[in-house]
Amino acid sequence: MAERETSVGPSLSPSPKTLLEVRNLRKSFGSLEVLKGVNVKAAKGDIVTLIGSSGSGKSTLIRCINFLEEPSAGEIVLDGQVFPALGEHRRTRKHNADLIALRRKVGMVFQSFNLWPHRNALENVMEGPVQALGVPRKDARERAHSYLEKVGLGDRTDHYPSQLSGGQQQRVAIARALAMEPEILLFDEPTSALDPELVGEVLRVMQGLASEGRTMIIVTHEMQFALEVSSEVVFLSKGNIEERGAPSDILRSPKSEALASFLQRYRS
Amino acid sequence: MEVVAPYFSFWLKGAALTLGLSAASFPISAFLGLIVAFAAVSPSRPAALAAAMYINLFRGLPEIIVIFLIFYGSNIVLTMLAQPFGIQIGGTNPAIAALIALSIQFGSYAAVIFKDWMGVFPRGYTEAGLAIGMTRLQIRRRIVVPLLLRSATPALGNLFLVMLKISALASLIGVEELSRTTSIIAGSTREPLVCYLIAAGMYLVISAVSGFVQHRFEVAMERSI
Amino acid sequence: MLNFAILETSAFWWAVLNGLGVTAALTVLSMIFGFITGGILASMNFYGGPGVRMGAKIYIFVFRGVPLLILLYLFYYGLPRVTWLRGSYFWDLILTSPFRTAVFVLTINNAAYLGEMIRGGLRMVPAGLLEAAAAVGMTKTRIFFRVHAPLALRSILGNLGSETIAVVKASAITSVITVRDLMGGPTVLGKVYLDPLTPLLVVGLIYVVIVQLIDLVTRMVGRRLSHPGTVQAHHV
Repeated sequence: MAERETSVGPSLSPSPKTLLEVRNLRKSFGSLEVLKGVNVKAAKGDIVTLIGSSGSGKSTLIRCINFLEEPSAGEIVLDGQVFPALGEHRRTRKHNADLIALRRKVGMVFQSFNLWPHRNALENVMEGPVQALGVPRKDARERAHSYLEKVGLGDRTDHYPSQLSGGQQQRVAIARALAMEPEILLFDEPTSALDPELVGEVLRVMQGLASEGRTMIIVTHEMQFALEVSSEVVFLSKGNIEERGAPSDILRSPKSEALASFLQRYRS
Repeated sequence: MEVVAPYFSFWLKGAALTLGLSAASFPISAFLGLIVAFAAVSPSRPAALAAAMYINLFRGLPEIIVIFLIFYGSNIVLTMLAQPFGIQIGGTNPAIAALIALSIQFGSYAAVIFKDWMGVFPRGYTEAGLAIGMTRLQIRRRIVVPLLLRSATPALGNLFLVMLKISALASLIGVEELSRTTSIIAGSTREPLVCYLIAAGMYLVISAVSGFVQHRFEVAMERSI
Repeated sequence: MLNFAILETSAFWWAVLNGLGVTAALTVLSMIFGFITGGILASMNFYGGPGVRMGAKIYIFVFRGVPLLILLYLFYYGLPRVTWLRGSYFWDLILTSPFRTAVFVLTINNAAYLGEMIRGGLRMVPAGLLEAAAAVGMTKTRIFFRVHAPLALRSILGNLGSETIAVVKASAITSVITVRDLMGGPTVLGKVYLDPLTPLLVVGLIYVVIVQLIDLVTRMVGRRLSHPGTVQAHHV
């Protein structure tokens, strides 16, 4: 596959420093290879959107970035620090510590929110800063309040997940990721589990984050949203990157047959 | 009835010991069960094997045998240990032997309950912890254990009721709980029918009250989430 | 102190063998009688009017709530004091032998647990299937025996293994009313030989093996019936 410069975002800085790089990533489940050597780059402030049909490997790719899925080969580079795939090697204590350090810099928002049901919104957001970063409880509480405020849930801090709508839960989950003050945010189909009328409130929050210049990698089926916020759109098909480029190019004038038919299905 | 009336305070003491024995053993069982369940699902083969052996051993051993084994066994072991030092040991305290036996036996039952719930524990809750950089230990302590305890509460409550009844077997090694005091009163009043009926009634009351408390507890917890 | 001399006597091993037979008899008899009684209780609970249902509920509450030990004492030491029972059929049949008292008490105890289990099975049968039977003109009794009961039975077969295990373990308690079962026979000899521990160890091991065997059979049958989950039951 041809290497090409991926950072084509609206950033005006002359040579944007690469923040995250996915190098030649492979992932197999048993004999099934779902990622066949994938390269992705994101500079600070970039918003890379991953699209593709189900089974294309896009969710596996985003889960490999913070090693929730252990890649079979390749490496993740964050801020110049290299995190290689373990492959056949046994996991060591050092390796585990590295992964934890990586995850503290990479926030993640899941399709099914995964809020902890035994903690209210505020406690869900405080958990990371207190447990993972060692922030004093008082500061963490303030921090959690401000991020819940930011996602528009300042009045829901003592609600438990079961008392919140899907859209509200997902916004709490976004606040939980933000409270870690990560360098990069991963979104794994953040609106796919939501009722249609609740999608908008989550997308609006994400739009706000985009306009702040945050670096984000997003797996989504919301093509209009991808068109509006992405600096690069990457189309995955059967474990390979089939096409990539500026959102208007990719989404309006697809070159490959696969992308054209994929987009066709979304237009109808 | 008039014959047994003077014994009621003695009886109540027995009932209190029945409740106390279970109340003391049960938290130990639950804690033991939690540890064994984690060992059973751990990737370490020796740990998983040891846990499976423990669970299957006590799945097969009748409680009455475990109680006798612990009581006689500890007596013999203690005597053998004390012999070289020339110390005279009075023998194991029956209440402590019963406490140990109940804790170990019910630890295996609790382990089965926890293991079943671990099997259906949503992966997403663990992953959310991993994604914010929590360590495995933190995730276990802060997320997995509280949620497991919560989902296992009804089953654990039933297990407590089973323990209340099983603890009657402690009378056989001389612990003066409800069954033992009943046998003593039945012997001295020569009214076994009345005495055992009263004891049956007392067990029903203890079970009903425990069941009620458990129910209230579940409802309260349901409301908190 | 801890010698294994008792293991070299044939009397001990005869007691073990004999006890195995007694434990098997206690288990099988109280499972059969318990299942019949439990079936009646479940039907009362399912089809009966409010009074009948209340009766079944009280039975189940009482016999699941009172420890087996107390029930055994009650029937073995308590009931023979009721003089007007003397000469009755119940007296001659049950109270004249520890074994038969044990079977009786295990049965009434077992029935309470099996009754709840069977009720669960009856409830699991989708109403649509029963309506379909009624729609083709079957009578109520016929629907019960031809449709409802067989389907309920199939859904609870997977639990019978753990129920049997619970009975095997509970039956060891009948040794307190001098039944010479697997627990009672050998441990009585232990007292004679002043060695309480060795019989307990041997007998305990045999119980563990029996329970593993029942588990094995349940799994083999269960695979054919494809029933998930192993529920642990306690009948005490």
